Amino acid sequence: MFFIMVPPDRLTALFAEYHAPLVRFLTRRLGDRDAAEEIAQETFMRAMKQETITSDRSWLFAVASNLVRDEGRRSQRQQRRLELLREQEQAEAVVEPEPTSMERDAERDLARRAVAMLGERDRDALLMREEGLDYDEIARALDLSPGSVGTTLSRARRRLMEAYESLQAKQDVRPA
Amino acid sequence: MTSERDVHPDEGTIHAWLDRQLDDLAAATLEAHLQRCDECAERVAEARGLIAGTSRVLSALDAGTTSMSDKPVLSAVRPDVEPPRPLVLSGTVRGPRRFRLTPARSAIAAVLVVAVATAIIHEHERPSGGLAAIEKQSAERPDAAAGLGAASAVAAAPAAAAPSPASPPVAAPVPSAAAPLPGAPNVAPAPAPQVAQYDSTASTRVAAARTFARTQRETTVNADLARVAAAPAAAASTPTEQTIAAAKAADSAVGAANRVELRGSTSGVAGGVGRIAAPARVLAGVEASQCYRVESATGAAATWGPVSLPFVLALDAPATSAAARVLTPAGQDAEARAVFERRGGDSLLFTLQRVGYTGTLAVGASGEVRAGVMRSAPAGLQLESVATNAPRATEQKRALRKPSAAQARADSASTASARAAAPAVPVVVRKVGCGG
Repeated sequence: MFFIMVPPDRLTALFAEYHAPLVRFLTRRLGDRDAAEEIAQETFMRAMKQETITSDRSWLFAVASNLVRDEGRRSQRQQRRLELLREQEQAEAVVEPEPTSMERDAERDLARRAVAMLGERDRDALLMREEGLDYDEIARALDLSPGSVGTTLSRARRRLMEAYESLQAKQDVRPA
Repeated sequence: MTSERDVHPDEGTIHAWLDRQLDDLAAATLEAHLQRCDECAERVAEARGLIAGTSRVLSALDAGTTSMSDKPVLSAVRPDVEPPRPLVLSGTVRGPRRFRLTPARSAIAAVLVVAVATAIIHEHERPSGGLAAIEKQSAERPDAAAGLGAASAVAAAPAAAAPSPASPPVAAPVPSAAAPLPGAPNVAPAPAPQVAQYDSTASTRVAAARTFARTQRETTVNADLARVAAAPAAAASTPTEQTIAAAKAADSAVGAANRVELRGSTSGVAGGVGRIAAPARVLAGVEASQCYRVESATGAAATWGPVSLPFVLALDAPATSAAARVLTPAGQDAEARAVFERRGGDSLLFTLQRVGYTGTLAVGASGEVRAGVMRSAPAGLQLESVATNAPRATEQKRALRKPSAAQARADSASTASARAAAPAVPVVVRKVGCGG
């Protein structure tokens, strides 16, 4: 296995290259930008302390996923925060008459709920793929065999779309 | 018998192929199978739909987030990932939902375009609007003729009153005269700081630009011809010939003055040259960086605007300033100012700043005694009464006539021609001390 040292300039390069996709991955994963920023920062802090990193991108996403998992222990608190956000968004949607904004908020809400219905591994694999990780990197980050990543992704995609369409159908039949 | 090529690929393999994650051999095998298997082709199409739908759903998670971490286009944030294999299904391919053109977005774009265009047009028209406003206000308020009429006159007669572009605001005749405006209660007497504010107006800048262009042309003629002059002044008939003759006379006078100095004399030509007594201190604490005494090269009487020879030009300190005061030999204010430009070889071109007059003074290259050519003529617009100090302007304001804008423009044109036709007077310019 190929190992690299992590000197400060290398860490700077890692940050410049991967901070944005990592934050986006975490935001999609958590539904909370502030938490995503905190976890991304913690991830790079750990990278700074790490003497060697193998496959930097998969390492970063794996550490971030583990931190999310740890964060999940406080899921009830997070859930309450999400509920508050949802209520706030709904309240804002009432005072915000712009149709496209309402449509966008509704889609975001549906997407979040659909993603939340996925299994953790499926969700991580899907979000990592969206951030450009290749199958080998996803396999390393999630401790999977490379050959099973395609199956994981196909299952995750199908389940996500089924969940989304299901939620959308329920929303459509809801009385106006 | 079923060959390996006929085995239907599983869904994971299809997704891996669409994600371009299969090696070449596996990809070729799958593609060969898809050529024969309609069922798998349908599965591929379905997988394409899932991938596209998933990307759309995950992109929806970003809605409302505005951090720099967000990048709206997946291809932009995934440069290392090849795009999905092209769709083979027929039908319209639409762009990402966020980039679709909706009526609301079209309306917003149209409003923005109109707003930007309006702002640009407004900005473009502002200077002329400012001039027009000044002229209109002046026309509507006869009482303000002394001040605003003078402002229009400055814009229209740059040679008479406008500073050069490089000069700082000059506390010269027009602002000081424009200050007291009885009958116009909203206009307070203008102290010195207001003069600077006035000079920054569009009209002054336009006038300064005109002056700059004109003095550039004249400097070329005056400075160059002064050194090649040969014809006598008496025989000169055209302005250019006059300038040549004047320059020649001035050069002769300078040579004489230098010879006198070499003999240790402190007297100069044509009336005597001596160090003046602290002219800058006479001006209530105004410091000068350099002082030049200007006198006739031929001994004949002449004036630069209203100022008779000899006089002293005191260049304002600091040295970066381009303004100068016109003083009497005794160091008293001669009620005129000048702006100057430094040309090659430290030659100088002074432009008279006195309402009612137009004038230039071209001074040759550096030296203790220099040759110069001076021109001045009354400007077409007679505004002597508005010049130089507030008390006089207050007393004489009722005698003022407010020129119309058309009249002012005509006067501006006639001013330039009048100065060009003015006789060129050869002068000797001697550097003198400014301090006591």
